[in-house]
Amino acid sequence: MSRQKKKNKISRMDKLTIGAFSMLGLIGGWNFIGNMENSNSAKTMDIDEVATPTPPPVRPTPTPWPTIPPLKQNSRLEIKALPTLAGVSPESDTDSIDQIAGDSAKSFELPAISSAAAIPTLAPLPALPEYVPPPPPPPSQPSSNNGGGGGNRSTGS
Amino acid sequence: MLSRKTETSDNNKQLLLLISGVGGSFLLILFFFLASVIMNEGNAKLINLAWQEFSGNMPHSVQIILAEQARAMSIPLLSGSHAFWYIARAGGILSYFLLWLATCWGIMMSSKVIKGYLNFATAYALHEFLPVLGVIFATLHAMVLLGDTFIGFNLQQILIPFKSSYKPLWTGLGSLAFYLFLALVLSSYLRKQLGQKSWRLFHYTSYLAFLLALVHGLMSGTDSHALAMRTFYLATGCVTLFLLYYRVLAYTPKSNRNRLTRSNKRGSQINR
Repeated sequence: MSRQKKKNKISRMDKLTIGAFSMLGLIGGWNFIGNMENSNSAKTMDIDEVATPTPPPVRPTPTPWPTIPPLKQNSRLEIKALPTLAGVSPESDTDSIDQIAGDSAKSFELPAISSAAAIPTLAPLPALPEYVPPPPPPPSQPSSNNGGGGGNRSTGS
Repeated sequence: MLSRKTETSDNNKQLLLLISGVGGSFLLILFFFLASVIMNEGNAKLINLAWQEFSGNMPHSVQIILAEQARAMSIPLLSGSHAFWYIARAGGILSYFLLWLATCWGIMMSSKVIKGYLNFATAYALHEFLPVLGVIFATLHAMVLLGDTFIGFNLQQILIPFKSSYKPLWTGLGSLAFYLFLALVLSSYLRKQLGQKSWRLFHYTSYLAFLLALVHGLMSGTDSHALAMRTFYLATGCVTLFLLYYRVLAYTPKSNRNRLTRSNKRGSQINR
């Protein structure tokens, strides 16, 4: 019994501990590689973003054709008040309203309508020549060939 | 006294059995759950639900950190996820590290560098256990690649060396290293059947296996372009080379050793 104990100095617990540490190493390595790959991909993405060629800024140059002047150069627009209709109070007399209506009717004098012109008519159609029916077709001749299959006549469709 | 000892050992055994049973069933459920997730993308909803249940009592800041990390690790494991590629890479590096440790440990044991610092039995048990763990992680490294769509490996490309569409020579060397390490691990369990001499001769191929793994990692590893990884490969290679050089210098054949011990004994008898 004591001999057997001396033979193997590593207990199962020791083996389990070494195995557990190895597993930890594996998971740690997995995590490390994953993080490293992610950071690498992020770096390459950043590099790509930096490397993307951007066009140089365009400066405005005077053109040979006339252009619309910028708004700043324009003088201020003068805004005038628009004429509005005179206000009519609802309490005003009907006579005064009629008077206003008469005045406006006087101002709108329509011109006299000229008389309607005669409508032009179409010219008569030319006379067509009289219809002559075509002559009837001649009767079909019976075939003189007696030999062969015989009777193979096309009737047409 | 004896009965109490046996009682405690029985209790320990039961506890260990219980822990391994619960842990095993948990892992089995987790495996089937992950497999079903990989098979059916619609199960992402289930993961979201589980996450909502799990993160219900957490502070908001912790939830944000966890979600950020999960996003970086490409969790959940869906069919188009990058997570498989990340796991494969991490598994490969870890496997290489464990196999390097095992190789160095073996050289240090045989050259007796650790003599006086560590019990031989403990050192030997560690030397036996580290490659097993390394091979397990190498298997994970290879199998996880099946779920990845980044390169799109299939089982044939993974199992048969030099059949891969991605850097066939360097990935093929990795496959050979894996098979060699697997054979070395199995040979240590069949040491009695193989015989000491043939086992020892076969054990020398571990240097070749390590070299193949190093070249595979350096030439086909996605992270090999990083300075840190190059330094890591260079450092591990140099340490192994240095230890091997030391081992060759410190090596004395068995006949010489016997002669030396005999002369030492004679000297001590004369002195007496």
